[in-house]
Amino acid sequence: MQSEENKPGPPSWLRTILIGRRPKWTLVRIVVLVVTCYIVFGFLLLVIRIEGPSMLPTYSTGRINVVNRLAYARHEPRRGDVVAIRLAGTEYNAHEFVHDLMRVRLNFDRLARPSVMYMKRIVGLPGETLQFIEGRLFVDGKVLEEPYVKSRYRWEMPPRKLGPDQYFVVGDNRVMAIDDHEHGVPLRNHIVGKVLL
Amino acid sequence: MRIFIRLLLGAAVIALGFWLWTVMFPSPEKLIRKRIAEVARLASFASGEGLVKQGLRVQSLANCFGTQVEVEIDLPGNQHHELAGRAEITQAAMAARQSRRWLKVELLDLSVVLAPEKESAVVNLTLRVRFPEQKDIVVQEMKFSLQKIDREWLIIRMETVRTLSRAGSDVGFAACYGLNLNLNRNLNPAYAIPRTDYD
Repeated sequence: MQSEENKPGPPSWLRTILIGRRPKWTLVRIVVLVVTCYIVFGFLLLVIRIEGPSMLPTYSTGRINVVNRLAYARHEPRRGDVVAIRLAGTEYNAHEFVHDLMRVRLNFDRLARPSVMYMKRIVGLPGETLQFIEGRLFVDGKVLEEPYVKSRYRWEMPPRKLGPDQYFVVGDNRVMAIDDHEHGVPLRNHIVGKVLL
Repeated sequence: MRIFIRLLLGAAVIALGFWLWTVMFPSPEKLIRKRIAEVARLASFASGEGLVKQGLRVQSLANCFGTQVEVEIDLPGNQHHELAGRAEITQAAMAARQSRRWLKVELLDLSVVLAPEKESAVVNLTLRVRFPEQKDIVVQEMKFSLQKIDREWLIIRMETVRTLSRAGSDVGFAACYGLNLNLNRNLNPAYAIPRTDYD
């Protein structure tokens, strides 16, 4: 009869796969990986899934994309940038991160915040005057070439001058009536970041 | 060693007491979040819901609102809807159940701002609705005003918020001022909650 001590344990290759040759270093690697993911996906990148026809044909429903939250840390948004715009809620900020750290808590729910965003293209910059005439966008009286718009409805919008710190956003899909398409000026602090891919 | 164990036990007892306190006496924000989650759960429905269950859920949904609740909804395409009172909420909820096979309502990204006296609050949130017939979803920023009435947090006003303002700033700074004022209204409950008596 075999004693308890002589009982065969899990095979050594299985142990190596599960916990590595040096378990202490495996633990360290796991901790580093978790902290890195927490910081990257909490503050730098936001993984999104696109839903809805607003940005067709550039982006279609179901596609996965990434938002760079730090894109506008060093410069302001530029014309043609596709951006994510949050609706309600606040972003996970450094203050909350420190608060979580002090409570020794990794709050993964917050990493996905904001959970719903608009995805639009910036077409108007602060101080510019925008106007739609028969579906064509005019910026300061000059027509804006928009190769990303493949078909357009005859949108009409009277001239609108943007204030300082105001950006005009609109989707690429303009086949519907202007009133059926969400477009306009978001609050600057609602622009979460630039869509990367 | 004995002192260390006693200290550890003391700390555990204090932590347990704190946890029990938060469970038995939840903060107003926690209660408000619970209320909003309840509204989303009751407003959603699955196909094949029995008539009795429908009635009970609609009644429970109506009970989440103040008796004189005001609902003002502006959707893309110049769709404007207004409801007033619990009875109209009940009717709308029943009508939705009769016209759709199922509906999924989600209220996400809540930001709760409590008034200083902690008797009223404003909640900004994102509404997401999925319909069976449409592939598209409805996404809308909303503002809920709640008031503590008979120890219950009830919704007394619901309105849509335009995330993308269509008002041009032909008047320059005046529009910016208006935008800031709107923001203040969103954040400051004193602006938003009508002082109405709910008996």
